[in-house]
Amino acid sequence: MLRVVGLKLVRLVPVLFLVSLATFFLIDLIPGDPAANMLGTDATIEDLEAVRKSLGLDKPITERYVDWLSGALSGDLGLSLRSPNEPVTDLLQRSVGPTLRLSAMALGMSFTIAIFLGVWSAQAAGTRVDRLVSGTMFGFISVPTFLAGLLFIFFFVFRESIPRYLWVVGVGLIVLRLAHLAIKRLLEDRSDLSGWAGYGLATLVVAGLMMWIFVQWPDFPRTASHRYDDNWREQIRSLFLPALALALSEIAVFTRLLRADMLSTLQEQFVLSARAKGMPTWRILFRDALRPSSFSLITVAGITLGRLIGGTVIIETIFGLDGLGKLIVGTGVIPKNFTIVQGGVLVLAVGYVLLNAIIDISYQYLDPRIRRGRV
Amino acid sequence: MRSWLLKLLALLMVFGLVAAACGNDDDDGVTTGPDEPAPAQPDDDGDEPATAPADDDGDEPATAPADDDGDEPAPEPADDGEEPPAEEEMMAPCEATVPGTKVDYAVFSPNANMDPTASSGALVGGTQLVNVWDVLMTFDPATGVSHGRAAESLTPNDDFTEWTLKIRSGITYGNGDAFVAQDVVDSMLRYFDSRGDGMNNRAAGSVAIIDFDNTEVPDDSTVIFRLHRAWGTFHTLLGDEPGMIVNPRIIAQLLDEEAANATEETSAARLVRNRMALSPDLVNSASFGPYEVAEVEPNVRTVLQARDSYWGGPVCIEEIEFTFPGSSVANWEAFQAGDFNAAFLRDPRVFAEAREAGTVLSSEPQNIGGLFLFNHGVRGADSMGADLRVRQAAHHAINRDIINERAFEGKLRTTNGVAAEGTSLWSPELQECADQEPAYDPDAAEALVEEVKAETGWDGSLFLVHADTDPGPEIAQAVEGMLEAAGFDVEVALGPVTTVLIPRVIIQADYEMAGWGFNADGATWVASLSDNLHSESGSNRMAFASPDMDAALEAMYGAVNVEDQRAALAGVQCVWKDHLPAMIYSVTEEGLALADNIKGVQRAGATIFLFGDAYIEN
Repeated sequence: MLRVVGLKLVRLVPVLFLVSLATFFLIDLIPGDPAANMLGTDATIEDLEAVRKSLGLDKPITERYVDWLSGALSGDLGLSLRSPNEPVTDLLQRSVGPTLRLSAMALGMSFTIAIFLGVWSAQAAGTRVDRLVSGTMFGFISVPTFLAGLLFIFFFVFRESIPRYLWVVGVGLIVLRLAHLAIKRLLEDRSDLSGWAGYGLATLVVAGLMMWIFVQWPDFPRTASHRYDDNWREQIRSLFLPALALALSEIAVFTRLLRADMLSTLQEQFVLSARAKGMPTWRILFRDALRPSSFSLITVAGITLGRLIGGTVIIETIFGLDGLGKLIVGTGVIPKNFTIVQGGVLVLAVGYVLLNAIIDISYQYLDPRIRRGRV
Repeated sequence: MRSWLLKLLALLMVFGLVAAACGNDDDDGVTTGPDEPAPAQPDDDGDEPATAPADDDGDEPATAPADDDGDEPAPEPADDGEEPPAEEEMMAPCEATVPGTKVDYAVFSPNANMDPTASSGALVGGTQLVNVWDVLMTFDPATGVSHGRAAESLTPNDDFTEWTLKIRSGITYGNGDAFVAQDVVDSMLRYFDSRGDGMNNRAAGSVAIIDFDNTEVPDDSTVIFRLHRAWGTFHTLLGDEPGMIVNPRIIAQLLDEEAANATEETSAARLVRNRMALSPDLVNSASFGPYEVAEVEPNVRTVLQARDSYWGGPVCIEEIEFTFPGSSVANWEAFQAGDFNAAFLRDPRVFAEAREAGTVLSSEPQNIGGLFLFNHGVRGADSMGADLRVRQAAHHAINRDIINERAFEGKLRTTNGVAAEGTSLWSPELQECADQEPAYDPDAAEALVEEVKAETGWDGSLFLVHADTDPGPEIAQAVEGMLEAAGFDVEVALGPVTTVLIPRVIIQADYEMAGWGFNADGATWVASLSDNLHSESGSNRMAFASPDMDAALEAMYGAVNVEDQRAALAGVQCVWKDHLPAMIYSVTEEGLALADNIKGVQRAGATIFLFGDAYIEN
């Protein structure tokens, strides 16, 4: 295990070097001037020249890169070129928290919904339910994230009664369906208590949850710019809409992926054997078939998390969240604040490679064949 | 197995029912965020909140000078019937800070530093700063009069070249030092000296009018400012960043500490500013305003807490949090959604919507908020903007109403004058001169363009630079179309202010026309016009030079009462019509949307808001 982790870390070194080199020289090509960003429109040309000199921007690019690299190797990512010239590590530390929370929440929502829908869709393959889920997922994929964010703001913040009552209608249909099944079972065989009573209980539970959520429906904020470091409930409330906007397309991708893998798994001999033994369907689906069907899902989820951490700039901008994406693009790329871009990209690259290393390692736990093969 | 399932479902049902039973039983059944400010608390005995005590000495507020004939400056015309909430209540109705009260303030742009030498007026940090540092005078744009705050009085001599400032006694900084008159001079000098050291202290040009060599501090409570020239509205400067006093003893100590760390590239003064940006304790000990910095994340957010030892009595509102939702539109939407109970707005479309919604607005028109600069040959640049006929042609070609319709949904207040009708310094004489400028006439524009082409061999090319912030692209597109229709061959460069506008206009001087704004409000109009148009000003980025204009600008400084000010500005306009240094197309508006229950907010500058006497009504 340690050897695997060690190898992954060794591979990180050339990746990071090339990434930092490419980033540094690419950012030099874009127009702009950090000194102009510091001084604004009241600057005089003399002021600009003085600031440029004080920031070391008058040095050749290779010299600046070597300066930065030697600092980075000793753990110093330099100072931001934006007043008040804070250490880049401090800025990254402050920004990575909100982005991680947002990404984790989006991924959690995607996973939860996609596993339920993917399994259900695979189990009901070819039925109306499957077609409905598939059609909805294609719809989700085709909605750009920024549009989803704006639509959610409109409906959840300014027309909050619409999603609230849609929730009641949507879940109400499920409740009716469950109630219908309970009554059907009851009429078919009154003595089969577990059959009709199970559906009856499920009806009550879902109806109770539906009403609870309806009553507790929160006022979603328009922005996520407030910090609630000590209040997780408020954090969830303020991050819910941006996370949902990010999750929308991921839900669709995960659902489609899981459905396809589940369909394949459900054809396996061990599933047929389990069915033949009379195992309950839920157990076959969630305990036996889900795990071997989740390889692609976990691989894609890892890539998605890495992408979300660095790629949430649009959603962060729409919702006013000061996260890593906004820092790298808004404070780094646009004003050519290269120390922030370098530091940010470095952190992202490390995170991305480590995440994928963790996923590689997780395969050994998910699939005994891989584990035994290594042994 | 089935019984196991039944148990699980039963458990879930019980959970669901219990959870539903424990739900919020508010009337509307909707939870509210914890940020919603708590109402003001009654006194222990259950009475209504008492009013704050009057000042210890019961002094009347200091006022700006009366003019020679004793007239009070005329009040600014009411703007659409809005009453600025500033002067509604001067006495805070609380005996102590009310726990749980909070102002969530959506800023126009987050500030990087709480040091007054590193701020940039109302748009970037002005309100955050004034609530921490306090200010010598507050300016009331409705009357044009300043009132003493940390200053007790400010009195000019007969020709307005000398102003005697008396500071209020008994004020102490956060570290316990007494506030003395010498601090005013030292603090202003520091502000002035920081220009060009990585700072954007836009009022330095105005501070330069103070003759520090001859300014006197006869005692601990008096400063006699001597000016290089007469300045009738000098008092407005003391409501701006130069009027925010930083304890000079702390600065001296910090400079000593940083002297060893300073390099050729990074001065000790700059290192001190950086420390101020990152250390709330430093700011709190060097200031005496109604609030202290509780948390700060430069360029992101600032949280202020009421200062217990505030010299002006109890501060009612416990906390102010300044955050940046992302844009003026986002500010307004977040305000409507209840995320914020104060939001800075600066977009004509948003203002129109806010008015329609009946929102309490404390706003101020910014004259010359939208204009196109012409390059008159900056640093010898070969620009067609230097040719008066080209500038005349552009005036003839551009229809302000079309810009308004295409970019602002018809909500912009278009104007062709340095002061727009309805603002305090507008006059019929000014408008008469403004109306003598070339009016919209595409045929006349085309004829002028052809004339210049035939005479000089110019191919009609014109390089237009504009910021891409909303609705910049629509403005540029509309103007490009109108100029092309008149025979210009327009190339447009659109981009962020810091990567396109500043480099093209200030650094490279590579433009013929550029979208800009002078933003001359009731407090800053003299400095704004002078900085941008005077031939000797370092901020004259057009290289426009006219002795007539210089004389007209200098006359503005001598104007005291509103009639003199209007006459001086009309003089500027009458020179403007002959030279057309730039093309004005709008007055913009900026200000604060406030929740109905926030009262007693004062203005320090035109759109800088002081919450020291504010309170949240029950």
